[in-house]
Amino acid sequence: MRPPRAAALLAAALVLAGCAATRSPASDAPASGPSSTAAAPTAVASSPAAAPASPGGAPAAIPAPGEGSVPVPAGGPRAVDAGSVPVRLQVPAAGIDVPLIDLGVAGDGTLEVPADYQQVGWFDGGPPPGDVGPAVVAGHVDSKSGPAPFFRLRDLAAGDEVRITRADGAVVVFHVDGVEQYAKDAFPTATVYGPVPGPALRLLTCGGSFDRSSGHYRDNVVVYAS
Amino acid sequence: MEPISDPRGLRRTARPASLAAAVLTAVLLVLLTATGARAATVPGDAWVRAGHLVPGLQAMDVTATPAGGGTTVDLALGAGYGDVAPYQRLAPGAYTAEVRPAGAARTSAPVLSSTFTAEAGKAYTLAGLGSLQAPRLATLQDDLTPPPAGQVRVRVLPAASAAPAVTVTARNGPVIADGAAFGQPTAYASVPAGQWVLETAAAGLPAATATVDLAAGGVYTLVVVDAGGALGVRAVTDAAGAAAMPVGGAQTGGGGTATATSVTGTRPEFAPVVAGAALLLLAAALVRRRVHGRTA
Repeated sequence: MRPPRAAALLAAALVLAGCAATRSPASDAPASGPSSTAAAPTAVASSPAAAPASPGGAPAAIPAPGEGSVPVPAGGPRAVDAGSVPVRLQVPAAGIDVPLIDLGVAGDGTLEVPADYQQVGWFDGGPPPGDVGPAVVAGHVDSKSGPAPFFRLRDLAAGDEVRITRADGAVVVFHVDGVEQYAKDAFPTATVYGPVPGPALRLLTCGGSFDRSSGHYRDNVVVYAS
Repeated sequence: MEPISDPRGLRRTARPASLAAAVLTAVLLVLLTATGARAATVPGDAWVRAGHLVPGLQAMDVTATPAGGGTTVDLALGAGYGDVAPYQRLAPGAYTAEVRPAGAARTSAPVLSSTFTAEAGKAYTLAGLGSLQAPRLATLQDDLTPPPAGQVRVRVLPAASAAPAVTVTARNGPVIADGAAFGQPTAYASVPAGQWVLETAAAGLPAATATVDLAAGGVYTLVVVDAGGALGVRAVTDAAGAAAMPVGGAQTGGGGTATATSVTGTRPEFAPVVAGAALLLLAAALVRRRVHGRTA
Protein backbone atom coordinates (compact mmCIF):
# COMPACT_ATOMS: atom_id res chain seq x y z
CA MET A 1 0.00 0.00 0.00
CA ARG A 2 1.21 3.49 -0.84
CA PRO A 3 -0.69 5.83 1.43
CA PRO A 4 2.13 5.87 4.02
CA ARG A 5 4.46 7.25 1.37
CA ALA A 6 1.98 9.93 0.44
CA ALA A 7 1.57 10.82 4.08
CA ALA A 8 5.30 11.10 4.51
CA LEU A 9 5.45 13.34 1.48
CA LEU A 10 2.72 15.51 2.89
CA ALA A 11 4.41 15.72 6.23
CA ALA A 12 7.65 16.73 4.60
CA ALA A 13 5.88 19.40 2.59
CA LEU A 14 4.26 20.82 5.68
CA VAL A 15 7.48 20.84 7.63
CA LEU A 16 9.19 22.63 4.78
CA ALA A 17 6.33 25.09 4.61
CA GLY A 18 6.60 25.78 8.31
CA CYS A 19 10.32 26.30 8.23
CA ALA A 20 10.34 28.44 5.15
CA ALA A 21 8.83 31.34 6.99
CA THR A 22 11.22 31.43 9.88
CA ARG A 23 14.67 32.72 10.56
CA SER A 24 17.42 31.95 12.97
CA PRO A 25 17.71 34.95 15.22
CA ALA A 26 21.28 35.79 15.98
CA SER A 27 20.80 37.21 19.42
CA ASP A 28 20.35 35.15 22.50
CA ALA A 29 17.39 35.81 24.71
CA PRO A 30 16.98 37.11 27.23
CA ALA A 31 19.68 39.49 26.17
CA SER A 32 19.72 42.31 28.60
CA GLY A 33 18.48 43.17 32.02
CA PRO A 34 15.45 45.28 32.71
CA SER A 35 15.95 48.99 32.59
CA SER A 36 15.49 50.54 35.96
CA THR A 37 15.36 54.21 35.21
CA ALA A 38 12.19 54.68 33.27
CA ALA A 39 10.09 55.43 36.29
CA ALA A 40 11.72 58.82 36.45
CA PRO A 41 9.17 61.21 35.09
CA THR A 42 10.28 63.27 32.17
CA ALA A 43 8.09 65.92 30.74
CA VAL A 44 9.29 67.16 27.41
CA ALA A 45 7.49 70.42 27.63
CA SER A 46 7.05 71.27 31.26
CA SER A 47 10.44 70.60 32.82
CA PRO A 48 13.14 70.88 30.23
CA ALA A 49 15.80 71.82 32.77
CA ALA A 50 15.18 68.87 35.03
CA ALA A 51 15.38 66.22 32.37
CA PRO A 52 18.50 64.16 32.50
CA ALA A 53 18.55 61.72 29.65
CA SER A 54 16.02 59.08 30.44
CA PRO A 55 16.24 55.98 28.33
CA GLY A 56 12.56 56.01 27.58
CA GLY A 57 13.03 54.66 24.14
CA ALA A 58 16.75 54.51 23.82
CA PRO A 59 18.34 52.24 26.16
CA ALA A 60 21.73 51.30 26.90
CA ALA A 61 23.73 48.54 25.44
CA ILE A 62 23.64 45.36 27.42
CA PRO A 63 25.74 46.28 30.41
CA ALA A 64 24.09 49.21 32.09
CA PRO A 65 26.75 51.28 33.81
CA GLY A 66 26.61 54.10 31.30
CA GLU A 67 22.87 54.44 31.05
CA GLY A 68 22.83 58.07 32.05
CA SER A 69 24.99 59.05 29.14
CA VAL A 70 22.93 57.43 26.45
CA PRO A 71 21.97 59.99 23.85
CA VAL A 72 18.34 60.93 23.74
CA PRO A 73 16.72 60.20 20.39
CA ALA A 74 15.43 62.92 18.18
CA GLY A 75 12.28 64.28 19.67
CA GLY A 76 13.30 63.31 23.18
CA PRO A 77 11.97 60.58 25.38
CA ARG A 78 8.27 60.01 25.76
CA ALA A 79 6.87 62.04 28.59
CA VAL A 80 5.50 59.53 31.06
CA ASP A 81 4.14 60.54 34.42
CA ALA A 82 5.54 58.37 37.21
CA GLY A 83 2.01 57.64 38.38
CA SER A 84 1.11 56.18 35.01
CA VAL A 85 3.77 53.48 35.07
CA PRO A 86 2.08 50.07 35.29
CA VAL A 87 3.07 47.93 38.25
CA ARG A 88 0.78 44.90 38.16
CA LEU A 89 -0.90 42.75 35.52
CA GLN A 90 -3.87 40.50 36.18
CA VAL A 91 -5.43 38.22 33.58
CA PRO A 92 -7.81 35.91 35.43
CA ALA A 93 -8.66 33.80 32.38
CA ALA A 94 -5.01 32.88 31.96
CA GLY A 95 -4.13 32.62 35.64
CA ILE A 96 -1.81 35.62 35.46
CA ASP A 97 -1.19 37.93 38.42
CA VAL A 98 2.28 39.38 38.30
CA PRO A 99 4.18 42.56 39.11
CA LEU A 100 5.54 44.48 36.13
CA ILE A 101 9.04 45.71 35.44
CA ASP A 102 10.09 48.23 32.78
CA LEU A 103 11.49 47.14 29.45
CA GLY A 104 13.30 49.16 26.82
CA VAL A 105 14.98 48.29 23.56
CA ALA A 106 17.90 45.86 23.55
CA GLY A 107 21.24 46.68 21.99
CA ASP A 108 20.29 44.95 18.75
CA GLY A 109 17.15 47.02 18.39
CA THR A 110 14.72 44.30 19.43
CA LEU A 111 12.36 44.55 22.35
CA GLU A 112 14.18 44.02 25.63
CA VAL A 113 12.73 41.00 27.41
CA PRO A 114 12.85 40.18 31.12
CA ALA A 115 16.18 38.62 32.13
CA ASP A 116 14.31 36.53 34.66
CA TYR A 117 11.96 34.14 32.86
CA GLN A 118 9.37 34.59 35.60
CA GLN A 119 9.17 38.36 35.19
CA VAL A 120 6.84 40.32 32.93
CA GLY A 121 7.55 43.80 31.69
CA TRP A 122 6.01 46.89 30.12
CA PHE A 123 7.72 48.49 27.10
CA ASP A 124 8.46 52.00 28.37
CA GLY A 125 9.10 53.40 24.90
CA GLY A 126 5.37 53.31 24.26
CA PRO A 127 2.33 54.75 26.01
CA PRO A 128 1.47 53.57 29.53
CA PRO A 129 -1.70 51.48 29.85
CA GLY A 130 -4.78 53.67 29.94
CA ASP A 131 -3.22 56.48 27.93
CA VAL A 132 -4.02 56.84 24.26
CA GLY A 133 -1.99 54.42 22.20
CA PRO A 134 -0.76 50.85 22.37
CA ALA A 135 0.74 49.80 25.70
CA VAL A 136 2.92 46.74 25.13
CA VAL A 137 3.57 44.13 27.83
CA ALA A 138 5.90 41.19 27.19
CA GLY A 139 6.48 37.99 29.14
CA HIS A 140 7.98 34.57 28.59
CA VAL A 141 5.84 31.59 27.64
CA ASP A 142 8.30 29.28 29.35
CA SER A 143 11.77 29.07 30.79
CA LYS A 144 14.34 26.47 29.82
CA SER A 145 12.76 24.08 32.30
CA GLY A 146 9.03 24.81 32.54
CA PRO A 147 6.13 27.24 32.21
CA ALA A 148 6.55 30.99 32.66
CA PRO A 149 3.84 33.58 33.50
CA PHE A 150 2.57 33.90 29.92
CA PHE A 151 2.30 30.12 29.39
CA ARG A 152 -1.48 30.30 29.03
CA LEU A 153 -1.65 33.62 27.20
CA ARG A 154 -2.53 31.81 23.97
CA ASP A 155 -5.70 30.45 25.59
CA LEU A 156 -7.26 33.90 25.90
CA ALA A 157 -10.35 34.68 23.85
CA ALA A 158 -12.22 37.81 22.82
CA GLY A 159 -13.92 39.40 25.79
CA ASP A 160 -11.54 38.12 28.46
CA GLU A 161 -10.62 40.75 31.01
CA VAL A 162 -7.15 42.18 31.52
CA ARG A 163 -6.48 44.47 34.49
CA ILE A 164 -3.47 46.67 34.89
CA THR A 165 -2.69 48.58 38.06
CA ARG A 166 -0.65 51.76 37.69
CA ALA A 167 1.74 53.25 40.20
CA ASP A 168 -0.87 55.86 41.13
CA GLY A 169 -3.24 53.05 42.13
CA ALA A 170 -5.54 53.44 39.16
CA VAL A 171 -6.76 50.17 37.67
CA VAL A 172 -7.18 50.10 33.91
CA VAL A 173 -9.47 47.39 32.57
CA PHE A 174 -9.11 46.09 29.02
CA HIS A 175 -10.97 43.39 27.16
CA VAL A 176 -9.36 41.04 24.70
CA ASP A 177 -10.18 41.81 21.05
CA GLY A 178 -8.33 38.88 19.56
CA VAL A 179 -5.29 36.62 19.71
CA GLU A 180 -2.94 36.37 16.74
CA GLN A 181 0.19 34.38 16.03
CA TYR A 182 2.94 35.55 13.70
CA ALA A 183 6.24 34.20 12.48
CA LYS A 184 8.91 36.39 14.07
CA ASP A 185 10.36 37.23 10.69
CA ALA A 186 6.94 38.49 9.66
CA PHE A 187 6.22 40.31 12.90
CA PRO A 188 3.68 43.12 12.27
CA THR A 189 5.61 45.90 13.97
CA ALA A 190 3.31 48.69 12.82
CA THR A 191 0.21 46.80 13.94
CA VAL A 192 1.60 46.08 17.39
CA TYR A 193 3.50 49.29 18.18
CA GLY A 194 1.96 51.78 15.73
CA PRO A 195 -0.43 54.61 16.52
CA VAL A 196 -3.85 53.84 18.01
CA PRO A 197 -6.59 56.46 18.54
CA GLY A 198 -7.53 55.27 22.03
CA PRO A 199 -6.18 53.28 24.97
CA ALA A 200 -5.06 49.84 23.80
CA LEU A 201 -2.98 46.96 25.10
CA ARG A 202 -0.87 44.28 23.45
CA LEU A 203 0.42 41.27 25.38
CA LEU A 204 3.39 39.55 23.76
CA THR A 205 4.86 36.12 24.22
CA CYS A 206 6.29 33.28 22.14
CA GLY A 207 4.56 30.49 20.30
CA GLY A 208 4.84 28.05 17.47
CA SER A 209 7.70 25.64 17.17
CA PHE A 210 10.95 25.91 19.07
CA ASP A 211 14.16 26.23 17.09
CA ARG A 212 16.73 24.23 19.05
CA SER A 213 19.58 25.61 16.99
CA SER A 214 18.81 29.24 17.84
CA GLY A 215 17.28 28.58 21.25
CA HIS A 216 14.19 30.59 20.34
CA TYR A 217 10.60 30.04 19.37
CA ARG A 218 9.84 30.80 15.75
CA ASP A 219 6.59 32.68 16.39
CA ASN A 220 5.16 35.38 18.59
CA VAL A 221 1.67 35.32 20.07
CA VAL A 222 0.05 38.74 20.35
CA VAL A 223 -3.06 39.39 22.41
CA TYR A 224 -4.85 42.57 21.33
CA ALA A 225 -7.00 44.25 23.95
CA SER A 226 -8.69 47.60 24.31
CA MET B 1 -0.09 18.51 -16.78
CA GLU B 2 -1.87 15.34 -17.77
CA PRO B 3 -5.42 14.72 -16.69
CA ILE B 4 -5.88 12.04 -14.10
CA SER B 5 -8.00 10.02 -16.54
CA ASP B 6 -5.09 9.62 -18.97
CA PRO B 7 -5.26 5.93 -19.91
CA ARG B 8 -1.49 5.56 -19.75
CA GLY B 9 -1.67 6.33 -16.07
CA LEU B 10 -3.80 3.29 -15.49
CA ARG B 11 -0.92 0.97 -16.01
CA ARG B 12 1.68 3.02 -14.23
CA THR B 13 0.55 3.51 -10.70
CA ALA B 14 3.55 5.70 -9.95
CA ARG B 15 2.13 8.40 -12.16
CA PRO B 16 -0.99 9.23 -10.12
CA ALA B 17 1.21 9.36 -7.05
CA SER B 18 3.63 11.84 -8.56
CA LEU B 19 0.75 13.75 -10.06
CA ALA B 20 -0.90 13.98 -6.68
CA ALA B 21 2.36 15.16 -5.20
CA ALA B 22 2.69 17.82 -7.87
CA VAL B 23 -0.87 19.02 -7.32
CA LEU B 24 -0.30 18.99 -3.60
CA THR B 25 2.84 21.06 -3.90
CA ALA B 26 1.18 23.54 -6.22
CA VAL B 27 -1.81 23.98 -3.95
CA LEU B 28 0.43 24.35 -0.92
CA LEU B 29 2.42 27.05 -2.67
CA VAL B 30 -0.73 28.91 -3.65
CA LEU B 31 -2.12 28.71 -0.14
CA LEU B 32 1.16 29.80 1.40
CA THR B 33 1.41 32.74 -0.93
CA ALA B 34 -2.15 33.74 -0.18
CA THR B 35 -1.77 33.52 3.58
CA GLY B 36 1.64 35.17 3.53
CA ALA B 37 0.29 38.14 1.62
CA ARG B 38 -2.48 38.73 4.11
CA ALA B 39 -1.73 42.00 5.88
CA ALA B 40 -1.86 41.98 9.64
CA THR B 41 -4.88 43.78 10.98
CA VAL B 42 -5.81 44.78 14.49
CA PRO B 43 -8.83 42.81 15.66
CA GLY B 44 -11.66 44.56 17.43
CA ASP B 45 -13.64 47.72 16.87
CA ALA B 46 -13.18 50.66 14.55
CA TRP B 47 -12.47 54.14 15.93
CA VAL B 48 -14.86 56.86 14.75
CA ARG B 49 -15.25 60.51 15.73
CA ALA B 50 -17.06 63.56 14.40
CA GLY B 51 -15.97 67.14 13.89
CA HIS B 52 -17.85 70.37 13.18
CA LEU B 53 -15.81 72.52 10.82
CA VAL B 54 -18.45 74.53 9.01
CA PRO B 55 -18.06 78.23 9.88
CA GLY B 56 -21.30 79.88 10.93
CA LEU B 57 -23.23 76.65 11.35
CA GLN B 58 -24.94 76.25 14.72
CA ALA B 59 -24.02 73.56 17.23
CA MET B 60 -24.79 70.09 15.95
CA ASP B 61 -25.42 66.52 17.04
CA VAL B 62 -23.81 63.77 14.97
CA THR B 63 -25.07 60.20 15.09
CA ALA B 64 -24.10 56.91 13.49
CA THR B 65 -26.62 54.13 12.92
CA PRO B 66 -25.70 50.63 11.70
CA ALA B 67 -26.92 50.11 8.14
CA GLY B 68 -28.48 46.81 9.09
CA GLY B 69 -30.36 48.36 11.97
CA GLY B 70 -29.24 48.62 15.53
CA THR B 71 -28.53 51.12 18.23
CA THR B 72 -27.74 54.65 17.14
CA VAL B 73 -24.48 55.98 18.57
CA ASP B 74 -24.05 59.65 19.46
CA LEU B 75 -20.69 60.65 18.00
CA ALA B 76 -21.05 64.29 19.02
CA LEU B 77 -23.64 66.14 21.09
CA GLY B 78 -23.86 69.89 20.78
CA ALA B 79 -20.58 70.17 18.91
CA GLY B 80 -19.81 73.79 18.06
CA TYR B 81 -17.79 75.08 15.15
CA GLY B 82 -14.18 73.96 15.57
CA ASP B 83 -14.99 71.07 17.87
CA VAL B 84 -13.67 67.59 17.18
CA ALA B 85 -15.27 65.05 19.52
CA PRO B 86 -13.29 62.15 21.05
CA TYR B 87 -13.13 58.85 19.21
CA GLN B 88 -15.72 56.25 19.93
CA ARG B 89 -15.51 52.55 19.26
CA LEU B 90 -17.90 51.13 16.73
CA ALA B 91 -18.31 47.53 15.66
CA PRO B 92 -16.94 47.14 12.13
CA GLY B 93 -19.58 47.55 9.45
CA ALA B 94 -21.60 49.98 7.39
CA TYR B 95 -23.23 52.99 9.02
CA THR B 96 -25.36 55.98 8.19
CA ALA B 97 -24.13 59.22 9.71
CA GLU B 98 -26.55 62.07 10.32
CA VAL B 99 -26.06 65.65 11.44
CA ARG B 100 -28.84 67.61 13.15
CA PRO B 101 -29.06 70.84 15.10
CA ALA B 102 -28.15 70.22 18.73
CA GLY B 103 -31.09 68.77 20.59
CA ALA B 104 -33.22 68.11 17.51
CA ALA B 105 -35.37 64.99 17.54
CA ARG B 106 -33.69 61.97 16.00
CA THR B 107 -36.78 61.56 13.87
CA SER B 108 -36.32 64.98 12.27
CA ALA B 109 -34.73 65.35 8.86
CA PRO B 110 -30.95 65.62 9.13
CA VAL B 111 -29.08 68.69 7.90
CA LEU B 112 -26.34 66.46 6.49
CA SER B 113 -26.03 62.74 6.10
CA SER B 114 -23.70 60.20 4.58
CA THR B 115 -22.82 56.56 4.71
CA PHE B 116 -19.49 55.07 5.66
CA THR B 117 -17.95 51.68 6.27
CA ALA B 118 -15.78 51.23 9.33
CA GLU B 119 -13.12 48.52 9.38
CA ALA B 120 -11.65 46.87 12.46
CA GLY B 121 -8.67 48.70 13.90
CA LYS B 122 -9.00 51.67 11.55
CA ALA B 123 -9.83 55.25 12.41
CA TYR B 124 -12.22 57.72 10.80
CA THR B 125 -13.21 61.33 11.25
CA LEU B 126 -16.65 62.33 10.03
CA ALA B 127 -16.01 65.96 9.30
CA GLY B 128 -18.58 68.61 8.51
CA LEU B 129 -16.64 70.70 6.00
CA GLY B 130 -17.22 73.53 3.59
CA SER B 131 -19.14 76.76 3.84
CA LEU B 132 -22.47 77.52 5.48
CA GLN B 133 -23.94 77.78 1.99
CA ALA B 134 -22.50 74.46 0.83
CA PRO B 135 -21.71 72.22 3.77
CA ARG B 136 -20.86 68.57 3.34
CA LEU B 137 -20.15 65.61 5.56
CA ALA B 138 -16.85 63.97 4.61
CA THR B 139 -15.51 60.65 5.85
CA LEU B 140 -11.79 61.05 6.42
CA GLN B 141 -9.72 57.95 7.08
CA ASP B 142 -7.22 58.89 9.75
CA ASP B 143 -3.83 57.47 8.86
CA LEU B 144 -2.44 55.17 11.54
CA THR B 145 0.80 54.49 9.67
CA PRO B 146 3.66 54.83 12.16
CA PRO B 147 5.81 57.92 11.59
CA PRO B 148 9.57 57.44 11.28
CA ALA B 149 11.37 57.13 14.64
CA GLY B 150 11.37 60.43 16.53
CA GLN B 151 8.81 62.00 14.25
CA VAL B 152 5.10 62.67 14.11
CA ARG B 153 2.59 62.82 11.30
CA VAL B 154 0.50 65.96 10.93
CA ARG B 155 -2.25 67.06 8.58
CA VAL B 156 -4.15 70.32 8.33
CA LEU B 157 -7.90 70.83 8.12
CA PRO B 158 -8.36 74.37 6.82
CA ALA B 159 -11.78 75.49 8.03
CA ALA B 160 -11.47 79.27 8.40
CA SER B 161 -13.90 81.07 6.14
CA ALA B 162 -11.66 84.16 6.28
CA ALA B 163 -8.89 82.31 4.45
CA PRO B 164 -9.35 80.70 1.02
CA ALA B 165 -5.93 79.14 1.57
CA VAL B 166 -3.58 78.81 4.54
CA THR B 167 0.08 78.01 4.99
CA VAL B 168 1.18 76.36 8.22
CA THR B 169 4.86 76.47 9.11
CA ALA B 170 6.69 75.14 12.15
CA ARG B 171 8.93 78.01 13.34
CA ASN B 172 12.54 77.10 12.54
CA GLY B 173 11.20 73.91 11.06
CA PRO B 174 9.38 72.46 8.09
CA VAL B 175 6.37 73.77 6.20
CA ILE B 176 3.48 71.53 7.18
CA ALA B 177 0.94 72.76 4.63
CA ASP B 178 1.50 75.23 1.82
CA GLY B 179 -1.53 77.03 0.46
CA ALA B 180 -4.01 74.46 1.75
CA ALA B 181 -7.46 75.25 0.38
CA PHE B 182 -10.46 75.95 2.59
CA GLY B 183 -12.43 72.81 3.32
CA GLN B 184 -9.82 70.47 1.85
CA PRO B 185 -7.88 68.29 4.31
CA THR B 186 -4.21 67.95 3.47
CA ALA B 187 -2.22 64.73 3.37
CA TYR B 188 -0.21 63.88 6.47
CA ALA B 189 3.33 65.29 6.62
CA SER B 190 6.15 63.90 8.77
CA VAL B 191 7.59 66.42 11.25
CA PRO B 192 10.26 65.94 13.93
CA ALA B 193 8.63 65.43 17.32
CA GLY B 194 8.88 68.04 20.05
CA GLN B 195 7.47 71.39 21.02
CA TRP B 196 6.79 73.61 18.03
CA VAL B 197 5.49 77.11 17.48
CA LEU B 198 3.16 76.82 14.52
CA GLU B 199 2.69 79.88 12.35
CA THR B 200 -0.47 79.95 10.27
CA ALA B 201 -0.63 82.54 7.53
CA ALA B 202 -3.23 83.57 4.99
CA ALA B 203 -3.39 86.48 2.58
CA GLY B 204 -4.76 89.64 4.17
CA LEU B 205 -4.87 88.25 7.70
CA PRO B 206 -2.49 88.56 10.61
CA ALA B 207 -0.50 85.37 11.14
CA ALA B 208 -1.62 83.21 14.04
CA THR B 209 0.74 81.25 16.24
CA ALA B 210 0.07 78.26 18.43
CA THR B 211 2.45 76.26 20.58
CA VAL B 212 1.97 72.52 20.36
CA ASP B 213 3.65 69.48 21.89
CA LEU B 214 3.91 66.71 19.36
CA ALA B 215 4.97 63.43 20.96
CA ALA B 216 7.12 61.11 18.86
CA GLY B 217 5.15 58.31 17.28
CA GLY B 218 1.94 60.34 17.31
CA VAL B 219 -0.49 61.41 14.61
CA TYR B 220 -2.13 64.84 14.73
CA THR B 221 -4.62 67.04 12.95
CA LEU B 222 -4.30 70.83 13.00
CA VAL B 223 -7.67 72.51 12.63
CA VAL B 224 -7.52 76.08 11.32
CA VAL B 225 -10.61 78.07 12.28
CA ASP B 226 -11.98 81.59 12.27
CA ALA B 227 -11.16 83.27 15.56
CA GLY B 228 -12.61 86.73 15.89
CA GLY B 229 -11.72 87.85 12.41
CA ALA B 230 -8.27 86.29 12.60
CA LEU B 231 -7.03 82.71 12.40
CA GLY B 232 -7.01 80.16 15.18
CA VAL B 233 -5.25 76.81 15.28
CA ARG B 234 -6.29 73.81 17.32
CA ALA B 235 -4.12 70.71 17.56
CA VAL B 236 -6.11 67.49 17.85
CA THR B 237 -4.50 64.15 18.64
CA ASP B 238 -5.49 61.47 16.17
CA ALA B 239 -3.44 58.65 17.66
CA ALA B 240 -0.40 57.87 19.79
CA GLY B 241 2.20 55.16 19.34
CA ALA B 242 5.67 54.15 20.43
CA ALA B 243 8.29 56.89 20.12
CA ALA B 244 10.65 54.39 18.49
CA MET B 245 9.51 50.90 17.62
CA PRO B 246 11.58 47.83 18.49
CA VAL B 247 12.77 45.75 15.56
CA GLY B 248 11.02 42.46 14.85
CA GLY B 249 9.51 40.05 17.34
CA ALA B 250 10.34 39.34 20.98
CA GLN B 251 12.41 36.44 22.31
CA THR B 252 10.02 35.42 25.04
CA GLY B 253 10.60 31.78 25.71
CA GLY B 254 13.23 29.30 26.83
CA GLY B 255 11.72 26.25 25.20
CA GLY B 256 11.24 24.33 28.41
CA THR B 257 7.70 23.35 27.50
CA ALA B 258 8.25 22.96 23.77
CA THR B 259 7.30 19.64 22.28
CA ALA B 260 9.09 18.23 19.29
CA THR B 261 7.01 20.36 16.98
CA SER B 262 5.06 23.13 18.60
CA VAL B 263 3.64 24.53 21.81
CA THR B 264 0.60 26.00 20.21
CA GLY B 265 -0.39 23.53 17.58
CA THR B 266 -1.14 24.70 14.09
CA ARG B 267 -0.32 28.28 13.40
CA PRO B 268 -3.69 29.89 12.62
CA GLU B 269 -2.74 31.13 9.17
CA PHE B 270 -1.69 27.61 8.20
CA ALA B 271 -5.00 26.09 9.16
CA PRO B 272 -6.35 26.38 5.59
CA VAL B 273 -3.13 24.84 4.32
CA VAL B 274 -3.51 21.84 6.55
CA ALA B 275 -7.19 21.52 5.74
CA GLY B 276 -6.48 21.77 2.02
CA ALA B 277 -3.65 19.28 2.26
CA ALA B 278 -5.84 16.83 4.12
CA LEU B 279 -8.47 17.08 1.40
CA LEU B 280 -5.86 16.52 -1.27
CA LEU B 281 -4.48 13.54 0.58
CA LEU B 282 -7.95 12.11 0.73
CA ALA B 283 -8.47 12.80 -2.98
CA ALA B 284 -5.13 11.22 -3.83
CA ALA B 285 -6.02 8.11 -1.84
CA LEU B 286 -9.36 7.86 -3.61
CA VAL B 287 -7.74 8.27 -7.01
CA ARG B 288 -5.22 5.61 -6.15
CA ARG B 289 -7.94 3.25 -4.99
CA ARG B 290 -9.82 3.77 -8.25
CA VAL B 291 -6.67 3.23 -10.30
CA HIS B 292 -5.77 0.12 -8.41
CA GLY B 293 -9.32 -1.11 -8.80
CA ARG B 294 -9.21 -0.77 -12.57
CA THR B 295 -5.81 -2.33 -13.05
CA ALA B 296 -6.49 -5.23 -10.76
